[in-house]
Amino acid sequence: MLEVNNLNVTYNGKRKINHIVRDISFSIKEGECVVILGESGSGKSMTMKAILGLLDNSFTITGKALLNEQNILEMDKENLRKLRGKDITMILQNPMTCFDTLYRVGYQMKETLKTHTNWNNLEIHQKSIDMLNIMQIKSPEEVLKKYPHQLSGGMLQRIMIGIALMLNPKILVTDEPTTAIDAITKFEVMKEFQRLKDNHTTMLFITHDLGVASLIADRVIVMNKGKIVDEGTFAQIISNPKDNYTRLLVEKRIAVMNKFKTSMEVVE
Amino acid sequence: MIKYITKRLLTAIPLLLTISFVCFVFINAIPSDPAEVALRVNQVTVISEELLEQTREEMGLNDPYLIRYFNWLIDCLRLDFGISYVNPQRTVLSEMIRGLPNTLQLACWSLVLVVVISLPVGFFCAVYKDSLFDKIMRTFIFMTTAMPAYWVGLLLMWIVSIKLDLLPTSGMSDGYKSLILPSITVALTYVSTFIRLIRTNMLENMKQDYVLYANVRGLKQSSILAKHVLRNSLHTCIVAIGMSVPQLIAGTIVVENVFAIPGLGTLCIEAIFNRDFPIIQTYVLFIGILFVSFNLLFDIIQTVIDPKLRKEF
Repeated sequence: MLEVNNLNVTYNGKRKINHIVRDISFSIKEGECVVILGESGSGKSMTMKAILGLLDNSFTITGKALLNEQNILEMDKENLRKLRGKDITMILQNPMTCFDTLYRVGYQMKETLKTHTNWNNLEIHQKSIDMLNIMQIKSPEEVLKKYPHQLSGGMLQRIMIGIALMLNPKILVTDEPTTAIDAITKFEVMKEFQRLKDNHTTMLFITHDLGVASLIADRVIVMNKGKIVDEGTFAQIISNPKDNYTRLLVEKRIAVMNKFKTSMEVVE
Repeated sequence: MIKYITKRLLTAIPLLLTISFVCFVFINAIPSDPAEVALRVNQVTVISEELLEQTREEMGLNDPYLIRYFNWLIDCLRLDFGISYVNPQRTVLSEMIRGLPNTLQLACWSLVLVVVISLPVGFFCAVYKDSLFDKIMRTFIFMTTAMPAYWVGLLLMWIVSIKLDLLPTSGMSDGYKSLILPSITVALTYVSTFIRLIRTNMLENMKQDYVLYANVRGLKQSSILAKHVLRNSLHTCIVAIGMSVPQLIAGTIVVENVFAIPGLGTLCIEAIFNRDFPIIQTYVLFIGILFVSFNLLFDIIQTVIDPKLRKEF
């Protein structure tokens, strides 16, 4: 479905040139859920932003990203824009800051749908309500009339997922969707993603959280310093890490888990 | 909401009182005897000590300080600002009303120019950041910030009116034509400030998550820029734009004198030269009240238009 070949992203600063992503190649099949794992600064978000054409002119991008045999890196801006949101879309990290505070949630849903479809206002309204119901948001009519700051982070995150799904994207990219929300909401949002996975939505899941990765991954790609250092199923990565960095990541995680367990035992 | 507006209106009262008191104190601190000025202006040739004493008594200058202040304040509230020392047949109010339309016209045209020029220029500077246009505009801003208004006025007068003979040099005799150069002069100072303000604000907004998300949703660039980025930036700028109105009215003082426009500014400068205290006092008070009321007005407007602030009150 999506095939990335030799992707390089460099930042052309005024004083120095920074290689952010080096020679990355991976692919994702239809209905598969691939998790890109790595610390912050490892280039995982940058990889996806580069593919979606969300980086400005100070970045140079080389390589290929084939979406259904079409190289989206060579597309002109206007065609890529039409692709974004419709064919390939992304869910961002911080739902509280992703909506424009000056417009009602309903309006922001509407403007997205208006851009990509020729549905009329009534259809858009009905489909928005249906989607909010699917996302298990109570009193959707009310929610559409609310401003973003009047809703909780978890709700906004679910609305964001809803907006993404309404246009039936071929690939859903999620960029650390659980980092900025509290533990309970995280649990709910993750349930949502697991449901999407069960419906065979093609997903690219970016995270630094091994726990989240374990819940959802068909396949894991580990990134470090802009390179892919390890690849395989979650079990393979945990039991048999090929790379030193992956090993470190796994050991740290196990250490944290053990510490947590002992501290819980002490409490008990 | 109504509670908030009432609260704001009430807090403005002590502020206005303070302004009036400070204004009164400072004018009275000027080392010159109002009684003597009044006598001189009325062309009394021999000013004796008794006559001075008598005039002081008549003008109420012998009363205690605070009593004088309260008398003045109560008169002001009745819109009675006293009589001009220089033109005893004219009240201060009539002098002010005579000058006000010219000043307001000048300030209005300047404001129109400021908005019409700085909004699109600021917008395009931000959208095409570091382009040739942006660089030229930045140089322009840099230059105009460093140029004082009276000098720009004289320069324009020299080039446009004298060398090219296109517009009148000064006065108000040629209708709208005589307001073109003064308006440009007043506007120029503010144009550079607002271009910079809008440009920085838009660039700041473009880095926000909501713009990234709008791009992720595949919205059109034009709609992202106009509906989201520009609107958000204007929300931040609205108070500054509102506050520029009293600034423009007060700021015409120099330009009015350069172009010899018979407005409030010219009136004030003349009054200063003639030590015409009632006029100076009223002018200072007027500008003070203008600043307080516009500040209040635009604070309330901002609260009303911002959904985030609106709900809190």
